[in-house]
Amino acid sequence: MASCKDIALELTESLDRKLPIRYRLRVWLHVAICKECRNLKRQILFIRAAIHKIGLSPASESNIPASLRMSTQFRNRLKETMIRYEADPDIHDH
Amino acid sequence: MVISITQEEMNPSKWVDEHGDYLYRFALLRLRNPSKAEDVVQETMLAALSGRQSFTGQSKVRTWLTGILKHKIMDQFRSVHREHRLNGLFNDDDTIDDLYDSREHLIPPAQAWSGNPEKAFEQGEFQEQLRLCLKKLPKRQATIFALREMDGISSEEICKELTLTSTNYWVLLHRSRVALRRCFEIHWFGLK
Repeated sequence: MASCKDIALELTESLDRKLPIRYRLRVWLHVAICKECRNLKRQILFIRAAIHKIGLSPASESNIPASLRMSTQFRNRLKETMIRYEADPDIHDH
Repeated sequence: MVISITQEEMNPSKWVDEHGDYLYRFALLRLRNPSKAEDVVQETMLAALSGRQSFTGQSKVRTWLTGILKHKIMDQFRSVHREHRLNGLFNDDDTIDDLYDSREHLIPPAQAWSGNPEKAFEQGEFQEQLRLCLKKLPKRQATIFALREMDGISSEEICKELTLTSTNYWVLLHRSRVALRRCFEIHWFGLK
């Protein structure tokens, strides 16, 4: 019987692409009887789903902490830089 | 005079207010460093100003800007990784041995997450926790995790862009996933 460590890399790989049948079978047989590996697999997929969900949800925009927003200084600097660049695109060619 | 929505959206003075925070957050979650995130956002805006004529209006302005930003971020990853490799700064994480005990079980064991995780992940703080967890990862693992799990880039392409062998890549990806789930387990679900 393969150990958790034996199937670890195959488990990770199986979440990204279809493995050859004998590897798939090996992972499947192990995961079927191993609660820890089932938890691991489920939680990796869960984090992936959560990441996709936040990417798609504009409703969450209003709920973003300040540490994930641009600072006021940078916002103003960026706007000024864009205005100067529009007036004279060459100033930034270096 | 009728101004179409497209023309209105293409007004660059609105880009920063309407898409700036989104682009900044996108960059920060991937590059992990606020000043680097600011740099790529600025580069993106200037590139967008230069390339405004080539915008066909077939996608949304945000999608177009994000596409430019993704390229800038990938350039950054590529050059940092080349530099680190040449200087021999990547010498850890070649195996998964230290993640497992003598009976080849994960240390610590992967516990079940209690409560209603779906509900928990809908909260806005999730992105902040993701940022904090990514910040703790070694550089290569964070890059690979971002490209694979956040941007859905294929494993083959990531290996090519970062000049990684396939074996090395799966080791690093596995390590990053194990570390991320552990970080969420502790800091999000409050388990020990």
